Amino acid sequence: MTHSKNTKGLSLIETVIYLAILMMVLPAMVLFLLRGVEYVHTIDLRVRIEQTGSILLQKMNELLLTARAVDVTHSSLGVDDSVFIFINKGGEQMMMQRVDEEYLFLDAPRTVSRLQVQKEGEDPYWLTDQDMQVEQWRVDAVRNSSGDLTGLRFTVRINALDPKEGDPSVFEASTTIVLENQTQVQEL
Amino acid sequence: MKIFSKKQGFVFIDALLSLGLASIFFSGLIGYFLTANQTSAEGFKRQEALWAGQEGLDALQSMAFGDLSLTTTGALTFDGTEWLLSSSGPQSLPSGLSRSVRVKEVKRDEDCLVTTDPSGTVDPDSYYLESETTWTSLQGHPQAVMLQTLRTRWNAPEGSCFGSEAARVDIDISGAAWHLHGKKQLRNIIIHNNGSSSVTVAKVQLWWDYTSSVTQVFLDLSKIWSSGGPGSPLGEQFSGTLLDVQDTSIVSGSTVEISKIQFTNDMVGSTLTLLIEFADGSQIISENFCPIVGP
Repeated sequence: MTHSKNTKGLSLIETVIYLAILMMVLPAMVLFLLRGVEYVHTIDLRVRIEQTGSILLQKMNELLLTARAVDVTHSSLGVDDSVFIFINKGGEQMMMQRVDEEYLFLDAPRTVSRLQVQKEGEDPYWLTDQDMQVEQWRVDAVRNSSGDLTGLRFTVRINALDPKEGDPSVFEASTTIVLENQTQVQEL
Repeated sequence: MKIFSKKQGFVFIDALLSLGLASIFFSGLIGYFLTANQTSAEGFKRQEALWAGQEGLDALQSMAFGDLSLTTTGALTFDGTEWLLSSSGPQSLPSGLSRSVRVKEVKRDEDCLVTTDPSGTVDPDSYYLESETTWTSLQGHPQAVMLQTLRTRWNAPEGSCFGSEAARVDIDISGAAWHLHGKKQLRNIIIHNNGSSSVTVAKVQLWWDYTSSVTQVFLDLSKIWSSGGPGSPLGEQFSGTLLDVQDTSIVSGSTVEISKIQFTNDMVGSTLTLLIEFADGSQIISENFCPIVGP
């Protein structure tokens, strides 16, 4: 009776070579993974900032195009941190402004600037998330050469609450909403 | 008896193969992340470009129509109150964007439909507004977003497509005077076409407070109605009769004179009112007036 040679498993030299290769490849793999996690964070942040900015400008467009009147007298326009007051389609006064609020962020209290809309006699609601810093908020009255109020210009700059190096740049946009053809909009 | 070998577990080549496969997998994964990152960055930039482009259009629409001028390289500046248009575009914007706005003429056919036919008539009440934002992608390729809209001067049209003919015309009765032949001829009523297209006088109606009849109406040197023709009705006509005159065109920017309205009796001291109806059915009516006595 003959027994065949046992070839199961790795020899010592093969194991050593294998471990050596693994030691060279493993750090690269770990780095790849970490980089992947960073990319996911970056993409997520970028998408959220972009969405916040877009939704914000879209929302203002919607609110204004159905507004009855723009209260230029009581609004503070043409300055940073504008307070913008208008009368909505239901005849109620609406106030839009940037408000500083304190939140616990990663177990530490942080002051976050958020955009808020308040309907007369109701609780305010937020237009931006807790972890989005509204760095700039400004509303300008836009007039034509005859001095007629023809639109409103909104400038907004939004950033992540704790931007890290390499994070996507802030969302900065301005939009002018034209009132000229909205006959129901009147300057108060 | 031969016992067959059982090659269970890993051999060296298996281990190398698995390492190789893992490397390929991780390379694919990182490639995926790289592409996703690049795509989202491009999307972010495109979104910013869209807002910048939209702002360009909105800015042009917030300006008075009369302040717009034709340009293919327009730049916009906001002076804190008003948007201003210059021809110094394209202009650089934050985030590496560049924007150029354009104001282009609109041509319409005889039915006032927008046409690209070069023989179409330029509509003085419409402009094409364009806003183009450009940037360079991460791969170095040029990218662009172009938005366009049509703006029309609805509130005070000057052209024939959106405004009535009467809206483009003024009547000046300040120099109206009775002339010659027993002061039976009314002269010096001036009609001015302020618009950018011609108007056509189709009917004339006159009211007066004396017992008299009208027999002739002249516009410049042309007889446009008389009791024997042209026009209708025939015969001498009393106050308030609508005279269907021979259609007469007044070209854009020109001034014509109602050089003669002939009455049957002396009219000095009478008070008149003049109505002119144009081919589109629009009308212009003068204030009551009492012509002076001319030479």
